[in-house]
Amino acid sequence: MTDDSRDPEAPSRLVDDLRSLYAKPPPAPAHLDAAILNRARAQMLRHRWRKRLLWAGATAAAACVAVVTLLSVQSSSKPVDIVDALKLAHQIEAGKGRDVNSDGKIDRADVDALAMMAVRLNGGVR
Amino acid sequence: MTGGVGLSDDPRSDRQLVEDGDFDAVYYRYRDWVASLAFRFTRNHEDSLDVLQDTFVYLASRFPSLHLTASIKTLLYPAVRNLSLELIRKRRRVTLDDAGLDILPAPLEAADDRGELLAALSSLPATHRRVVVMRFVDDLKLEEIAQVLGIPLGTVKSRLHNALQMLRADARTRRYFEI
Repeated sequence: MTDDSRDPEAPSRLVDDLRSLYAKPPPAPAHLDAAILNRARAQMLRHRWRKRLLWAGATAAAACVAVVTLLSVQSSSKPVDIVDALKLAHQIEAGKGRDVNSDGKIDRADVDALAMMAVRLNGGVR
Repeated sequence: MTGGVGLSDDPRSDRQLVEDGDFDAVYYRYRDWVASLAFRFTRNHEDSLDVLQDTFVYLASRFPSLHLTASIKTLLYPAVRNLSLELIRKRRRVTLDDAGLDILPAPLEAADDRGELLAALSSLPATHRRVVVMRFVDDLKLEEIAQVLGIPLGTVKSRLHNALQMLRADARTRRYFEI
């Protein structure tokens, strides 16, 4: 069984000879450091710009969604008038219509609710 | 190699250097280690410089969003290894598997004692030989080896222990263990 509690050591002469099997490389030319660091900086800059573009794109998309939502809300907020109440009455007679007063039923009370909206002073905006 | 005055002696940990965004300090700390590793894998000075460059450009691509959980060596080692393999395949059009990299030492100048060591080393199972080379030649800690190879620390220790036992039992390398 091996002892897992410590780092197995090798004789230093063995380690030295092992290392000498794999010779060290000659020194790199002096200009290489600058070249590598410049390429690396350019790479990091590109990465930063990509990230910023991604953020800008995401922000623009979110703004578009907000504007579209706002416009659709506004367009659905047109004033109702007494004609809408009349139309609803006809629809209910035909078995259609919608639950205006949110009481879970589609009946005459919905027509009344719509008629009340139409005669409100604020122009019947829902 | 020269350059990076005082930077390689920077007392900050790897994690701190990354958090500080100090790429230059990381470069000067690991440049020579990467160059040696690349040279061991490629056995060619020009190729090793290409690998050195590509390794740090790769690191730069990950650097801004890098969150270190271990030594930076565990990130660099596989990069150097893979870039070296890629380069060897491309330049020399040879088929070399991953394990083959560990039995390609620099050419020996003469038939000296190290020839026997190389023979004994080559006779070890590939998994054991790799751990020996990573520990004593590449100077990785046991935890780093475990991380790089994706195996448990106990397995690394046991492979290293067994490899040393095999070298001790081998007539060609027994003398290293005699006091």
